[in-house]
Amino acid sequence: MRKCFGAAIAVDDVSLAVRAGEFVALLGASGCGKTTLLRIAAGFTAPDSGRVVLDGRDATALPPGARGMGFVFQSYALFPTKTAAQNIGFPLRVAGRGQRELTARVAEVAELCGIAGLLDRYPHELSGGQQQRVALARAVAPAPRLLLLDEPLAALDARIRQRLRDEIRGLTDRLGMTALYVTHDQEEALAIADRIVVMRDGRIEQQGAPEEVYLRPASRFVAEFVGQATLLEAEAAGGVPRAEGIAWPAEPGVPDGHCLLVVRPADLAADPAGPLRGEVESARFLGGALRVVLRLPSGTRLVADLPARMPRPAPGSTFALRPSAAPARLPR
Amino acid sequence: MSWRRRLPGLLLAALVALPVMVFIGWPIGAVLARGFVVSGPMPEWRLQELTGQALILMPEERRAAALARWSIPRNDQERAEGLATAFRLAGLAPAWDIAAAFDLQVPEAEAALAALPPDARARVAAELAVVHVALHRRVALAFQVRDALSPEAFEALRTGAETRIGLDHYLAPLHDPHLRRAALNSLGFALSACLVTTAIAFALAFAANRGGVTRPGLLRAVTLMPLVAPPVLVATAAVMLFGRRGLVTDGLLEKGLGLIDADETNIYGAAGVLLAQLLSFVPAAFIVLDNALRRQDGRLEEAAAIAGATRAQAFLQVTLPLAWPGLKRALVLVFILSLTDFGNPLLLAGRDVPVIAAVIYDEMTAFRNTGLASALCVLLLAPGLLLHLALERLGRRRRFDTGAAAGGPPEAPLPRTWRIGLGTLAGLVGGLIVAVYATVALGSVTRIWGVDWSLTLVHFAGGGGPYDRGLGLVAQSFWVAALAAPAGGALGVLLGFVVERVRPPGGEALAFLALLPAVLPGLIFGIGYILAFNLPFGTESLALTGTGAVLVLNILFGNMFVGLLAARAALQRMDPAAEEAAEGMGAGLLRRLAEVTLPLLRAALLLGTLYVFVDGMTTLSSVIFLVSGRHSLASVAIFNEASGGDYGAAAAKSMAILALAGLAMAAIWRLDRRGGRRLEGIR
Repeated sequence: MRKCFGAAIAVDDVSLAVRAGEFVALLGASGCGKTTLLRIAAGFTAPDSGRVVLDGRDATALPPGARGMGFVFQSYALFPTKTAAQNIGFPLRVAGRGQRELTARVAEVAELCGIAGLLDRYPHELSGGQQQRVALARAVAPAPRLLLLDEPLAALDARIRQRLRDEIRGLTDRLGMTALYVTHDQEEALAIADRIVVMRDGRIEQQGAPEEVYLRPASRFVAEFVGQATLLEAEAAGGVPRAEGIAWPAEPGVPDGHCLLVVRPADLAADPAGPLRGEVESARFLGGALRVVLRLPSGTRLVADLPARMPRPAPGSTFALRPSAAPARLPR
Repeated sequence: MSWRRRLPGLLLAALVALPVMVFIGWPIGAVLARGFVVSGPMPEWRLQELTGQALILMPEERRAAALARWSIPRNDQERAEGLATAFRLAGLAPAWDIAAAFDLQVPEAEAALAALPPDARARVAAELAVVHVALHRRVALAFQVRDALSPEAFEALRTGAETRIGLDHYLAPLHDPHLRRAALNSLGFALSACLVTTAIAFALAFAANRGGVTRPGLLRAVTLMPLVAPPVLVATAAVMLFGRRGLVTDGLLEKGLGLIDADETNIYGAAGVLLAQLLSFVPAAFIVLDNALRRQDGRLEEAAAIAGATRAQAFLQVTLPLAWPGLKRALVLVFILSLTDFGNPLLLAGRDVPVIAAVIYDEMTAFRNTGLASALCVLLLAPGLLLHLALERLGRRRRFDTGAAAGGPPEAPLPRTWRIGLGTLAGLVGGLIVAVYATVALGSVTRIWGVDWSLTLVHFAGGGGPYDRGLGLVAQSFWVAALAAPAGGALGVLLGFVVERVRPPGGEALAFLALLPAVLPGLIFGIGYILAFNLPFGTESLALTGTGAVLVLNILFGNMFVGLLAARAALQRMDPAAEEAAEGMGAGLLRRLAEVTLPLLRAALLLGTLYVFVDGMTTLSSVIFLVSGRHSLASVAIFNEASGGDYGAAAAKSMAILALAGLAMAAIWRLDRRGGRRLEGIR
């Protein structure tokens, strides 16, 4: 697949396959081409080259409405002149379904999406979260084969975002629906998807299960984009990587030579006798953990998530850490 | 303490309020009031009543003798008129032809009287005695009873005319068949113009915003061209192309191909008026609808598309309902524009198809009947208001907001047939508009259009004096507009500042007053200036009419609303914190205004100034009654020359006005860009 807008390449030779029933998240910074890819799948944007194949059939030339997909927009895109019920019923009505069937189906999906009591309201009478539930209901009402979601939660508050995120996943599971979900929020992608596709500059940087992408990043970009990480220059000899003057735990089979260690905050533990000794730059209580930033004599900053109930070290004091798990490795 | 802090602001407010009230409030109020003042010949019943009252004042025997003398008609005319009047006063219609020669009427009238049933005949006879006095001997009667009457009453009886408060002018369209016809014509034109124009403007706006044409920028530029048109430009071009000596009708179709007789088949008539109004008003409707469609979130149409809706379904169920508020505004706007347009009907239909706006023009210029003209102006407001209210009820819905900053148009191209249809329409309308300008350009260098096609620059040669056929009047227009423009822009911006930041009591009412000239027909504003400033407070030395100042003031106050609206919009977007900070540092009102606020209102000031200037160069309706021999304007001369068939002179002035307006726009645009870069960081 390839798509340019003028001189800018939005999607650069991307190939992506989604299995039936799979929940795939397209993750990347803004401008990486993830939304363009989604819009090509929907049929809103025509690719310069490449094909969209649905169930083995070429759908590249099909208009959006004939593809059997549902689409959830970041801006909700509810019809302001129609009530929630009319919005949800719209795809059924243009498909020529009978009034009885339509009413029943609208009630059914409204129930599923938790908006059964709001059907007579107009979009402007609904909160952002409620509007997005209506948009979701409208997208799933005709039971599409594939649900496309374009940053559906980006405009919502953090709290509602988390709840709706879990509900969306619950909904696709219950309906056995395939989903392609665009987001720039790595935490959201990790939490919702079966498979994460990390994109950068129109290309796929890495794809895999959330654990895989997080714990075994394929590149420095993925390591830094997905989750918090400290990258350490390391020299491996005899299967043991050494960085910051100490030997780090590692899975077997580390080749000799230069490499990068991706140290996650959870890979470190507090230990008064630990080998990583330095000055506390900051210590912030995050609720679930105590996040300590430690400055080593070499100038490197290590970020560690320590147990929340630990006494908080004073900034400027001396503190020590030790590696508690094997960090991921990137070849140089 | 608080009032001392507010004092400078309130002083500024008063300073701005005074001219607005004097030069907007007073003239409009004067028109409203003048419509109720009836002066002129009394109706027959009133004459009869007054005569009866005067007769009673005479001593008994002298009255009997006088009545005996006076009630005998002196000739057939008096006899016939008396009988007809007596019939009407008795509530009966004269049953004979009252337009026939009087000597033929008399026997028929006598016969009609004799044929009446006895009681009716008695009623007529009773009236008849006084009727002859009322109609023909009133002057003699007045002198007989002069001592018993006040001077005003004597004058009223003698002349049969009086000045009183009444609804006569407002009710005139009900009685007068000519006015009734004009009213129906006006409504017919307004309805058809608003429907056709809005439909076409909507199609064009849709084409520009949804990929219906390949070059939407060009479509916008061409469609908006008539906004900066000298008066009756479209009508003049239409006559030059399709009139009795038109280039197409006479030159091509009659003389060239021998297909038609241009004296018979031409643009004149209702269809021509409609076409001219369509081209004249399409830009205004287009602006409204272009805005409405541009702000629509293209995602909505995509949502409809992926839900399986066809393009037509998406259009009918999503695009159209969302554009309804804009459509309503466009409908009302064009309706009012058409209703108050007198140039196009006068030029293209003449007096054969009278419309109210043209009647107002005639009543003012030919008959000096300001009362009737004022009342008709006010009546002209009613249909627009009613249409607005009706449409509001029809589409009553909660306000919906698709978010001003919503995404752009949908990417998917329109179906081929749609693109062909919209492209054809855009080409047709655009072609007509370009043809209008090309025709006028050609006319300005043609010696005598339709007769002598040789090229000449004679129309551009100035001669000086009131009969200057050349460009002297354009220079006068330029100076009037150039004087009014900066003042109008500044006053508008200042008023905007006062209303938004000083917030004096009655500020909103003041802003509304300043907006009135925008929503009222220009005719009202022109007539208002005559009524208010012809003889202010009965003092001749205060009179403004006939001076150049009245033109400047009229243009200034008629258009200052643009600066006001722009300034208010800018100030509403702007956080007042910067002004408060300056105040906290001890800066007084004027310093804050000059150094903090006004620099941010630069764009509003420029826009307001430009608008006053361009409208001052092109406006016709409000100034047409205010020009005088010594102080005239090019726009009025263009209208007179175009009506008189002097197309070369009209076209040359039009081209000169267009050039000046274009220069002004370019200058303002440059100024705006220069200052805009500095302001870039603020936004």
